[in-house]
This record gives sequence, C-alpha cells and structure tokens, in this order.
Amino acid sequence: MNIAVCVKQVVDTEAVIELDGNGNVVTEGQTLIIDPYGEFAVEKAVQLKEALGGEVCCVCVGDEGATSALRHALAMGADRAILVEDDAWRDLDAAQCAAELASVLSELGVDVIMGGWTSGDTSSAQVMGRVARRMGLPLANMAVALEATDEGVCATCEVDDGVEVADYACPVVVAAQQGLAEPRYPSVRDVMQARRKPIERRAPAGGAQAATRVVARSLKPARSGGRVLEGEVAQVVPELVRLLQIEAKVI
Amino acid sequence: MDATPSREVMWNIDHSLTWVMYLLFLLALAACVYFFVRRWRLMSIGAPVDRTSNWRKRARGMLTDALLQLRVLKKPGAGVMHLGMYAGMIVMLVATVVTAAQFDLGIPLVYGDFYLYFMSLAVDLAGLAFCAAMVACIVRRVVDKSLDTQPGDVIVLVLLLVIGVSGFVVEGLRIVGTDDPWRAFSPIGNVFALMFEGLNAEQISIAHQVVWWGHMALAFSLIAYWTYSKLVHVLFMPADVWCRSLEPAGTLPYIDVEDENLTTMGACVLEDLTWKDLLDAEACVRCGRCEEVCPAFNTGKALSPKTLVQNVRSELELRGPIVWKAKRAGAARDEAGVYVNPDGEPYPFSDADQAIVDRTLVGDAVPVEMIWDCTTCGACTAACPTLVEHALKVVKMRTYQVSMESAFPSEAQSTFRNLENNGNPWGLGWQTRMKWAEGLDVPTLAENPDAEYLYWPGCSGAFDARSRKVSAALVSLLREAGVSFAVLGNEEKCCGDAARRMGNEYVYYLLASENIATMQAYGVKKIITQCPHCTQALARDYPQLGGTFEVVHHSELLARLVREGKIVREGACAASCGRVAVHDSCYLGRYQGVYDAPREVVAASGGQVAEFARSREKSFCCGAGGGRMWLEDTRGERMGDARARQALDLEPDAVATSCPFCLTMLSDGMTALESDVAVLDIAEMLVEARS
Repeated sequence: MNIAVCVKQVVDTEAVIELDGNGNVVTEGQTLIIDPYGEFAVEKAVQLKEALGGEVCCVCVGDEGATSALRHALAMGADRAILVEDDAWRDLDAAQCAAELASVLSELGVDVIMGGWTSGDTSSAQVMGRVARRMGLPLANMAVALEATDEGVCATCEVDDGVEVADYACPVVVAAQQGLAEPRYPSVRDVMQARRKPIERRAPAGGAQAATRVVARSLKPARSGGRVLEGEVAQVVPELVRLLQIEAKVI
Repeated sequence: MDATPSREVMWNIDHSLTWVMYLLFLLALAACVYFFVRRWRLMSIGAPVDRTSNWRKRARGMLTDALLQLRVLKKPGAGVMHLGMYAGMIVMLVATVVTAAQFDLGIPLVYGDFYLYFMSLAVDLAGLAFCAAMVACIVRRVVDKSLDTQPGDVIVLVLLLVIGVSGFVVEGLRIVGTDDPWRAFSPIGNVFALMFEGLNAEQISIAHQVVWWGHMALAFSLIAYWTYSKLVHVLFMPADVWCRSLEPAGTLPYIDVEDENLTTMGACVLEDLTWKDLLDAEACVRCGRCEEVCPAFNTGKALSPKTLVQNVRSELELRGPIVWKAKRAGAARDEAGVYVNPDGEPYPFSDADQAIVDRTLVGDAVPVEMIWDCTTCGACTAACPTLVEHALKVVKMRTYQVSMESAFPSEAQSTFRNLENNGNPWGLGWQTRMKWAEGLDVPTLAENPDAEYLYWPGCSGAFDARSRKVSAALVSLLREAGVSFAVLGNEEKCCGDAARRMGNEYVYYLLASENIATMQAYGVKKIITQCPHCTQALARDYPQLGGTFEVVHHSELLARLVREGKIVREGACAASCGRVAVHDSCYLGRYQGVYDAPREVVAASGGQVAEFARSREKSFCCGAGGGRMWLEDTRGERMGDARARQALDLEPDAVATSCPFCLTMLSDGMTALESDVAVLDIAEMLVEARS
C-alpha cells in the first residue's frame, strides 16, 4: 500500500505567541515542530506500510526550515519526502495550500492520502477536505481508526455524538484525528538513517486563488484569575448556579 | 631436649613420600590456574576502559577498601565473621609459607620466640578465629532463611571448617606424640591433645598420619576448587577495587554523538559492557548488601541490584566462552550486530551457540523492568564491599534501549519531546521560564553581565509551583548576604540530567551543548544550583562536552554564608522548626559528598537536627532520581511514601530537603500518609527563621 502524508511545520503548541507590527506571528526564535495531527497520520501510515509493505511519501508546503519536520517524519519511518518550497508559504491560505498539495499528490498515484484533519497552529481544518475535493476523492475526516481491507480501507471517523465506520475504495483521503495512532519516538539510529533519505524540493505550481483574506490578527486576552464566592453555603450555591447560567452560559 | 623452642616440621611423616605432596600440590595449583584463566579470559570480551592508570591511588584504595576489610565491616555481624576468617586465613597462610620455607629451602625459621608467639600462639588463635567464624557462618546459613544460600556456599564453608578442625587434630596428635614441652603456647591444639591422651604411641602415629594426609588433601582440594568457587573473590575483589573508577561519583562514559562513525551507543549485548563491568559481576559474592539498601527492592519493585549483577554474571558464563572463541579467531561485530570474520563472512557459530549469541542484555539476561526501576541513587555501590557500579550498568542498558531501540516506558516519550521542544520536562513554553521571578526583580546575565554568580534555578525552581517558593527564598537570602548574581532567564534549558540517566544521550547532548554555549557566551565562571541533579550535570557531565564551571549547590553556599556571618540568625527559630528530620538527597550526598552543609543550615535556622535511621551515605532515595521523577511508580509501594513514613518515625516538626525532587516526593508522601508535617527546603527554613 503506497501512502502519501501531508505534513506541516507549526510553532510548538506550548509556545507563547507574539505578533509583529504587521500582525503576523513571529516565528523567529520559536520552536518549530511537526504538526501533531500530521504526526498521527505519519505514524498510522508507517504502521500500515510495516504491516503491508509499500512506500510512505511525505509532502510538505513550506520553507527550507520545514525540512526538520520532514526529517522527523522520515525518522519515524517514512521513505521519502517532497518539499514544495516557498518562503512565503505562510501567506498562502488553505485553498492555495490544498492546490499545491493536490498538484504534487495527483502525480504520485498513491492508494491513500493522509494528513491531519486540522493543524495545531491555524486550526483551519480546511486543507484535507479541499485536497479531496480538488482530486475528486472521498474524504474520511477525523479518522480515529484505519485499517486496510481487500478493496481499500475501513475508517472509523468521529461524527457528532459518536463514530461512523465506513469502507472506502482507494484512492481515498484520510484526515487524522487524535487517537488514530500514538506517534513513536524515533531512536538515534532512526534519526541517523533519516539523514540519508531523500527530500525532493519542488517549486510551487502557483496560480490558485485564495479563498480567504486575513483582515487582522490579535492575541487572545490573557486569562483572568478565577472568582471565589465567599459566604454561607446556602447563599453561595444559588449565586454560583446563577453565574454559571447567566454569565458563563454553561448550564 | 633442645632449649630453643621449636617443633619438628613434618614430624611423623615419611619424608620419602613428600613427592606425593608436591605432586598433589602441583595438580591442585594447575586446576586453580586453569579455572582462573578460564574466568579471566571471559572478561577480555568486554569493551575497553582505562581502569589501571594512577597505580598509587589505586593501591591506596585497595588497601583501605579491600585489604583492611573496612567496607566489609560496615555490616557488624557478618562483617566480624568475615574478618575472623580473613585474618585467621592470612595468619595461617603466612605460617604455612614459613614452614614450607624451612622444610624446602632449609632456612631455619620455626624457632625461638617467633615459634612460640607467632607460629604457635598466634596461629592457634587465628585457627580458632577461623573455625569460630566458619561455625558462625554455617549457623547463619542454616538459621537465616532469608539468605540466598546456594549449595556452593555451604560446601565452601564446610570444607574450610573441616580443614581448620583437622589442622587442630593434627596439632593435638603431634603435641601428645612428641610430648611437646611448649604446648602451653598452642592453647587450642592443647585442648585437642587432651582428647588423645589415652591413645598409645602407635595409635597416635597412625591417627596423625591419616589426619595429616587428609588435612593436606582437603587443603589442596580447596586450592584446586578455589578459583572455580565463589572463593575466587579473594582475588577478584581486590582486583575489582583496584580497578575502581577514580572519576567523580556518577560520571558516565562520554559518548560523542557528533561522531560520524558512531553506529551504536549503550549496552545492547553483554560484551558492550566494559571488562570492568564484567569483573564486577565476577567479583560479586551475592552478599546481598546492595539489596538490603536498595530503595526499589525495599518497596517491592522488580529491581534487585544483586540479581542484576548476578544475571550479568550468568550471561557471562553462558555467552562469554562462545564470544571469546569468536573474538580470538578475529571475528568482530559489524554494524548490524553480527559477528563477522575479517573476510566479511559471518562467523560460523553452531546453531546452539548462535541462539546464545543472539541473546540481548536487556530482555534476555536482565528483565526490562529492572533497568527502569532504578533511581540511580547509588545506595548499592555505597554498601558494596567490592564497589560494584550497579547504576552505571543500568544507565548503559537504558542508553541502548532508548537511543537505539526507542524502547522505554511510554510516559517517558512526552518528557523527551518536552525536553526537545521546550527545554523542560513539563513541556511548558520556554518563553515562560522566567515567570517565576516576576516581582522579584531578578536580573538576567544580559542585564547584569558582571554578576559574580550565575544562579541556576533549574526546571523545578522555574516551573514547579512548590519549588518556585524555594527559588524566591533563595533569592532573598542571596540578597541578604550581598551575593552578586544573575540568571539566564529564558535562555536556560533543562540541564539534561534526567534525559541522560534515562538513556537519552542525544537529547542530553542537545540541551547540554546549548547550555554550555549560552554560558560560555556570557563568560560564566561560577554557578549556584538549587537542584543536586543540575549540580551533577553542570559540574560533572558538562566538562566532558567542554563546559567547565565552578558549581556550588545552594546548601553549601548557604552554609558558607552562615559561617562567614553574612547570614545571621540569632536565637530565632522558624515556626516549623524544632525537631527537623534532615533528608539527604542521593545526588547531593552520595554523589557529591555533601552531608554537613544542609545540617548546618538547619541548625542555623534554629532547627534541631534529627537523623533518619538511614541517613548520610545510607540515605533512602525519594524515588525521583535517574529520571524516575518522570515515570510512573506503580510497582509496589511508592518510594516517596516509604521515605515519608521513615521521617514520621522520628516524630519531627518538619522535614528538611535540599533537592526539588525530594521536596515533591516527600510532600506527596506526607499527603499520602495524611500527615501535616511540613516538608521544606533548607533555604525556606533559613528565610522563616529571619523573623
């Protein structure tokens, strides 16, 4: 089974985000990691390859620095990687990114295309759906389980209030949700071997129209401290219920 | 009768038969040498390590720690028994050599006062001590069912006892047979002689000859059996102590992870351990002192340091001869771990041998749980008469498991990733490291490059809510004493101690090299640490990577400031003071030898130091060392709870620690035991006593 996995490099999920004067996220000095959702997909793809044979190819739209995310995927067991190199990739929106990915993926002719259903930084949750649409393939979105069948794959996907288990014929796009697979920790041996695996660099195809326009970005307000209600239990409890209903609107 | 006191050497023994004695002796010696060589060469399969240079220091160590038996005597009962047999054996060995010198070389030695006071009296008393020790040992083996007694242990003891007693019988018969006028100088032989007074001359002569030959045959059997049995420790133990590490405690082997030719790291198979590790295993006599003090073993975990070392020994005896043969034929392990001949062809092992060669150290020889139960606290090595380096072997095995196989308890993965991505085990954003100092007006080195000391709060001191209070206390004390200091702030990374001791040499390297570069860029010379694990890494691990700094743990600095009168507490006593149980952190105590400083600080705070039953070098680990802080403690009792219970046995008003990990574990232990006894860092006590 040949699998392509779309991976993205993101700012570490614990990082303290800052904006520059133009409202762009400052990435200078930040720890950049492989996107956790893409990492679930890589792990599952490598597991399927190890069980069934075939090849795992990772595809990434990013700059030279993104090779570290690809190297990580290669250390996890992917066989090769393609970097669509664009220093201005952060200015691309989901539609443009999906177009770049689709143009590479359509050449690969793989059985399964995987990726994270969303990403840890922009959380647009658009790209894999748009890739599927562009390529005319079915999408198993928010997959928490995936196994190969005789005709294709069987995916378990999160839906509102439950899961949906469905068979898909290949080729198919599978977007990983947390729980699909527990990513492995590459050993030094794996890391060293990954250095010898090929990363092919390609120029972006370009030409796709953006579907969105960023008007402004602002940081989340700092968390304010919790409130402590003081007094007799008989008075405090109704007050708490009132606040939860009216102010917090959670009950 | 000759006026010069003496006895006839080889009395009543037909001198024309002495060739039988020499022949038997040579045979015994040949067996002894054969078994010795067979063992010795097994060790040659181990990896090289320099443990023989600086012979003066080694000789001194061997004298105090092995030959004078001081380490053995640390355990009163068995230690005294051992000293009895040891001293007795040496005296009798000297007497035997003297006798042989006179008989074979014709040097007149067995005469006069030397004969009376040494060859008779001293040797008699030595023989008594020896036999008494043997009886005591046998009784101990029979009575104490908790001992790990194997047939060989009893065989050796009984054999030695029979040799000792038969020696006295021979002496008693000689005394009667020669009507020895100097018999009073052989008190024990004389007692035996009394038993034979009723025999006539012929009976005595026959009995003497029979027992004499029997005694000799047994003694020679013992010589032959010596290097085959556990008695070989007589040779290996001093050798092992001679080959002790002369580096500071806890020094790990340097691995150059940047080396392009590096194909593996850590110990995958037995021969990846050094020959010294293998010598450790051969020198171990299963005395069990390591097990008695091991906090993991004592809280019901899988680890027994004794079993670990014995498993290495069994593996050596199983695998050693096969690998030795292959190596002698010129075969070597290739990158894939296969033994190949110089021509590149795989070495032709038989199927049975191949199965043994395929065995791995962890999993096949040593159960995997064992290597992860270890806190590297070092109590085992401190208790070991042979100075076996248990924790070092554990770390080597972990290094292979983690670095090459990526095999470790699953909860370690997030720790590793957190260290990689954010430079702290919790994975909190690295830009938030300096938050602990908000409102404290602590300068960074960037702001105050001329500061005398770099203050290194460590990950706990910066991120852990409880330890942040210790950092604040320490800052206020440094201010009070007028110490010039600054911090790295967000530029500080985890020291890498946990990563390295959990076997993740690569992540350790990333963290350490970045820290070293940062500190060197600021020209850092002196560092104040708050965590003994940071101290170990900065002071002892970093020099291997080119970072040499003067590191002082806050306990030592505070004690010094108190001594110098820079911090004064007169009659003041912290509210929580009174009786204070002082817990020794393993990495501060056993590793860095700092025991008095924390006690001085507690005393200066007005506390009355209460000693744990297990304190100082016998201290019982809180359970967090060796990266165990970041692993679940699910097997058996939690170590921190056990230590908290030991603290409560002292009925203290407070417990003092000098390590953030101990602080966490003991506090958790107190909570688990539903006790409200406060666990405080010594810096907090000194602040509280300010009043």
